[in-house]
Amino acid sequence: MERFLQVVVDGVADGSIYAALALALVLIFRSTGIVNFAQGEMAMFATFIAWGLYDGGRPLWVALPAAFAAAFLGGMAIERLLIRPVEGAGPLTLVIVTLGLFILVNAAAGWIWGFTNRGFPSAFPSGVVQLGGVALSIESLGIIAVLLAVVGLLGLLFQRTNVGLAMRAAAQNPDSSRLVGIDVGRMLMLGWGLAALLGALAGALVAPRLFLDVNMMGGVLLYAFAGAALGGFDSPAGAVVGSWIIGVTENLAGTFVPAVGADLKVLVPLAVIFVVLLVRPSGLFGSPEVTHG
Amino acid sequence: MSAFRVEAGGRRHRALRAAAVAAVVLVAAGIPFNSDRVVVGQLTLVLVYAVAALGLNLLVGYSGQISLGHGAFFAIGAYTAATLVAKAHLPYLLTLPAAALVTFALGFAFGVPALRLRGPYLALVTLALAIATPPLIKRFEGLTGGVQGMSVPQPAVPGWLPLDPDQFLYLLVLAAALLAFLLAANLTRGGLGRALVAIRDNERAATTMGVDRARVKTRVFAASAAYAGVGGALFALTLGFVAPESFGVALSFGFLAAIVIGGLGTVGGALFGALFIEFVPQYAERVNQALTGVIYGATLLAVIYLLPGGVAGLLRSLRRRLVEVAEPAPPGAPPAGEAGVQAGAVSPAERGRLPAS
Amino acid sequence: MTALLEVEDLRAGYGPVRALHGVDVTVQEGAVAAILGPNGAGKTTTLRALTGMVRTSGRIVFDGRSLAGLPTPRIVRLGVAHVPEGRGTFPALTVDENLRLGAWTRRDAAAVRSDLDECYGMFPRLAERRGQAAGSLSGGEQQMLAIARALLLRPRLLLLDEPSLGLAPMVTRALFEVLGRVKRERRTTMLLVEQNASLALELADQAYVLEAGRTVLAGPAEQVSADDNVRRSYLGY
Repeated sequence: MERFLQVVVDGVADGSIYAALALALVLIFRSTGIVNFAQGEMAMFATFIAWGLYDGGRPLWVALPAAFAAAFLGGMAIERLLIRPVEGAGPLTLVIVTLGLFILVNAAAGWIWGFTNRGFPSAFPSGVVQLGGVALSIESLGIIAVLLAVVGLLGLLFQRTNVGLAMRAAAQNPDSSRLVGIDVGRMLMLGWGLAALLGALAGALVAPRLFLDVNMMGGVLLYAFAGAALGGFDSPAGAVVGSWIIGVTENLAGTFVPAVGADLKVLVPLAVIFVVLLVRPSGLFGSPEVTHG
Repeated sequence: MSAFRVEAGGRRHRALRAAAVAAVVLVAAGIPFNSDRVVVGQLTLVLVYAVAALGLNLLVGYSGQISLGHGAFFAIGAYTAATLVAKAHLPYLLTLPAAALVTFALGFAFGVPALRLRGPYLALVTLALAIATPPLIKRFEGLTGGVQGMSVPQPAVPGWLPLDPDQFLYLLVLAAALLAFLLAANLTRGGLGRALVAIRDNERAATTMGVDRARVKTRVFAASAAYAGVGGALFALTLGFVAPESFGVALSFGFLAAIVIGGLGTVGGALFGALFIEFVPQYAERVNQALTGVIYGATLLAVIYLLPGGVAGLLRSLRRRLVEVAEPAPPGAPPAGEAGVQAGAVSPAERGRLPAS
Repeated sequence: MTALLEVEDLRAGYGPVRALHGVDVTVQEGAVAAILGPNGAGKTTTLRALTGMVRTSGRIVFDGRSLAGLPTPRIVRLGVAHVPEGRGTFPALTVDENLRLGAWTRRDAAAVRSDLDECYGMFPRLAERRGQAAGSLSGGEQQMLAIARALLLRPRLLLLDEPSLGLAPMVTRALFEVLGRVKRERRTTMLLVEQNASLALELADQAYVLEAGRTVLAGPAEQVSADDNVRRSYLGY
């Protein structure tokens, strides 16, 4: 039983990491209708920036916020320079742009920092905490706490601030938004910046658990896609719940079902994507018009 | 403006086109006798990739369905051919139609549910397919030889032909590629091609004009998968070996990059794209491991923003300086070449922008 | 006295299709001008041209400043509120959020709050539904919401595009009563595009009739409504 709880908590922690990236995907999707295939690579790049600063002698509590700020600015720049010019150009163009970005950012990171694996320090102390007689890893609990805090902050931003209201309005109805004086382009930039920030957070949380290398976020992206698909691509709550479900399922299956080896674990999110998008494309919480051709 | 003017579909147009194609074919056929074995091998692969890319272009460039999973069908074709030759000892020529049939059927089966998905979702599902391919190949070890892969005996040169094995292989693949290109050209110029363009550019209007979009789209999916399957079979025969690592996501990305850079919605684009994905990595890798990716990514983006018609589009506008192909004007209408929308008559690459689907 | 809004020889179109071929409209401060005419005459396009939603050529001067070529949000910040055809409400947002968006460009938070209260006083039905999603409101309520939102800008100029469209006669009457109140109590300058010519002419001081993208008639509202020929030829009654 104790083992079960530990696995579940680890699963929720993994799921929280996927959720951070899934929230980024959903944020961009809701505001611009784009599925950003490059979200993971952008996150990886930001994590490398953090690593670079840390390796250069700065403490983590300086390196991480600096990297997050860089991610925010980078996300805004990408929207303004790469996405805005092709805004109305149709899904094909947008898919290709984000794929091109994926390839380019991945290679650029390799160029700058090379292809060897690195370790990345964890923001949390190592060790366990005893909760109700069960030993739970501090890092896992920390990750979950961070995600919950992020979700809370996002909720506050969107529901209680003027900027958040404007971002929601711009995402829902750009024409009407302009008629109340909202600069829709600026709201989109903010959305991309915020999404990049969330991605960078996911990167910083996952890097200590894997090795930091240029392909680190490929798997996380896949899981995030599965979580977002399961939850419904236009639902932030769905992204979080879906990702948690995926994280817990993956960990339970990996621990308790011997037939699922390390190689095959990746088939879990793939199967989820397949089944959900083909059987019930709006996922658990998404709205139906979103996906149908 | 242009040096001279030909009417589309007219005798001179067809003659010119035939001459151009004949020139290309002659040059291509002459290659094995004038180049060293390494280059011949590389160009054989170029032709293999071109066949597969052609299929993807039918799907993406003409019917506007985004697939990131082309590599999966390529892999199925490769393993089908490998199994048939290595284990069932089938004559290698038969593996091509066999691979085509298998992948056509699977493509059709996939194409039916795929109809329900809008652009980025279809991209995501096909991406999942591409990512799943190597692990699935490894899983079914018994069938596929797992991580070790499978050897494929090279097609033997018939005694009466005075050719080296690689020359023979090259010419074989060239013949297959020519057939593939001819078929694609026919498909896209005829009624199916017009239906595809109509669907891609405005699905609802197309439906009201009587185009059964579901049927057309699933058949195109199947056809494109068949092209990939044949390409895969040729790949297996050319390389003499199949292993799961050859069929990962990078392959599918490569095909998509190939058709975008070569020119979406054109038949010739597949060839230029195939040249790109075969040769660029070779030279780039010598400089820096990361350079290939940088070039791929940067080129893809550059094409989108600066040259949406790809290489084929660029060549087309150069050709227009020399020869203008004018659509015959319907009676009473203003002369062709003036601004105005001519549904279906303007080929996709002329549009100067990537097709909006 | 110079008018608040002067439009001269306005031409505009959608891509290759020209919709306006020379529209002239002048609106004095504090007055209400009505733009009337048959369907397809270009009435909606005129309003959209004023808020920068279509490409235009010609003169558009608002409060001494040219609006030509300015992006929509800029024009709104200058004090032009546009209630578009189809209301332009945000159906997924609450009534309260919709209203708050009307005041989005304003910096005076305290005044906004008091304006909101005043607005709820003027539109009690909206107050009842303030937490509801705007999409769940009836057509008439949504129209009230759209107008209230526009008023929250404290606009110098209020543009209304076919406010009576799709509304039952009783609701339309109530709507025009509200507009009458706005005119009397706030003296907001209004430019009103309407199919329902008789109600519009009751409210307006000036009337313009458009046909095929041109101003074909201009004059005081009473004169236009008293002219039987005009009414029959252009206004359909």
